[in-house]
Amino acid sequence: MKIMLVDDSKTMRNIQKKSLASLGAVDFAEAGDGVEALAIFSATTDKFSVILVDWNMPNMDGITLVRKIREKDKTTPLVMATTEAEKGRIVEAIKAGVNNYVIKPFTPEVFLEKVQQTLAKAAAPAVAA
Amino acid sequence: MTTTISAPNDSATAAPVMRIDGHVDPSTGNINAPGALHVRGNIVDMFQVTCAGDAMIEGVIEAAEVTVGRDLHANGGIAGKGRGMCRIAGNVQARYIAQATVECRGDLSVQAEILSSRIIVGGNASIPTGALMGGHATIVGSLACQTIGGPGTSTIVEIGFDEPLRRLAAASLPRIERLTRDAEKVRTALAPLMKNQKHLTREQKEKVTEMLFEADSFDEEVEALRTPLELGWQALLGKPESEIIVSAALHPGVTIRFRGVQTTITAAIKGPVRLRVRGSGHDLYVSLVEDGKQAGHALSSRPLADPVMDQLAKLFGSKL
Repeated sequence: MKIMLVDDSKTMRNIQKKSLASLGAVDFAEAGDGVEALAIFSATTDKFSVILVDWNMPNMDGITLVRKIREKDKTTPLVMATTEAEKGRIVEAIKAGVNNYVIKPFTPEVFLEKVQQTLAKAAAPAVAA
Repeated sequence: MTTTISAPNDSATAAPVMRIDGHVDPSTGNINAPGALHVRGNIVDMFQVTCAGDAMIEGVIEAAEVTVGRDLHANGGIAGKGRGMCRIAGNVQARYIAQATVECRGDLSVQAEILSSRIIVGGNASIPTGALMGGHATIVGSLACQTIGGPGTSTIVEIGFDEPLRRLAAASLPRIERLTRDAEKVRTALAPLMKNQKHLTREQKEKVTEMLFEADSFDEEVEALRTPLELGWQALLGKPESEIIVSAALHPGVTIRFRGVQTTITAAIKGPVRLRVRGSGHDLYVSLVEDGKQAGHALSSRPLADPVMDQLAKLFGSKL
């Protein structure tokens, strides 16, 4: 499994990484802002199982990153992990193309549950409308 | 001296046997055998021998450090001169043990005697035709021997004690307590903030998340420390009752310890006898059963404090 963590806080990336390691063999990529994340995303040939994105970051914020990724790729699961808790923000993120949204502060259980939900949904066969 | 490595029965898959025809000494250097080991001579002072499989030592194990992954056959005996140390993952068969520390997870069987040694046994110990004299023996299972103690010696025998578990608990319990307290402290501090998330700044939210993960990592560490303790404790609970069987004599100066109770022998007791622990709670005593009799009589006994194991009992909710 390949997961990219995008957060300007290295501490936050580390604790997410530690928590996600319980999912099994995970190959992590890390980025401290949207610019770095987009470069990694473009340079990576293997598809990411999920990308976790913080909203507030320097250089390029998370919502811009989500839009840029969606311009290139419609299917890679994206989870916004952010302090932005207002309904308007959540709607904005969903419109931009995130698959799930987890609001800080979150517990390790909630965080892991959201990621697992997202992975399970991505793995499930698509149902025709 | 020759050193050869061969596979028994010409099997390509069998673990290799390292053979040393002479002593383990300056001519061989320290030995690290990936499989079994056969030494025809002695293992002399200061040398280190490690082997992953069975070890057969025909000569004497002197003041050396020997680590064996399976069983040890010390056919020439172990004469540790107060410094020798043998750590064995399986069983030990030895001609004699003198002034050495021998720790095995399985059974210990000694032909002649154990003299002034520190013995730690995970299974049963037997010296069917010999003595346990001087030193300190800690045995999870039972002990069978001809005599215990001797003139002018002080011998301590602990029966039903798991020394590695006690050591692990002594090292882990303070850390478990500290981590549990730290996790609780973090969660207590975070509780009011979690109730008022709307009023938290972005930075506070980030910090709270980090602290929640920190508390969780304390819990994980506690669990990792608790698991081996619990497994060891449950294994100890599942063991049959331990006893001491002495066929010839029990000498004055011997201290016998069972969990929670101990006695010191003040006058010689002629065998064959069995010693067991009887009673319950604060009324535990060491009972002496003479050969051919069902009922025993109480030896003058006194309580034995074992705070580490008591703490384990409290943690896992059951008494031994």
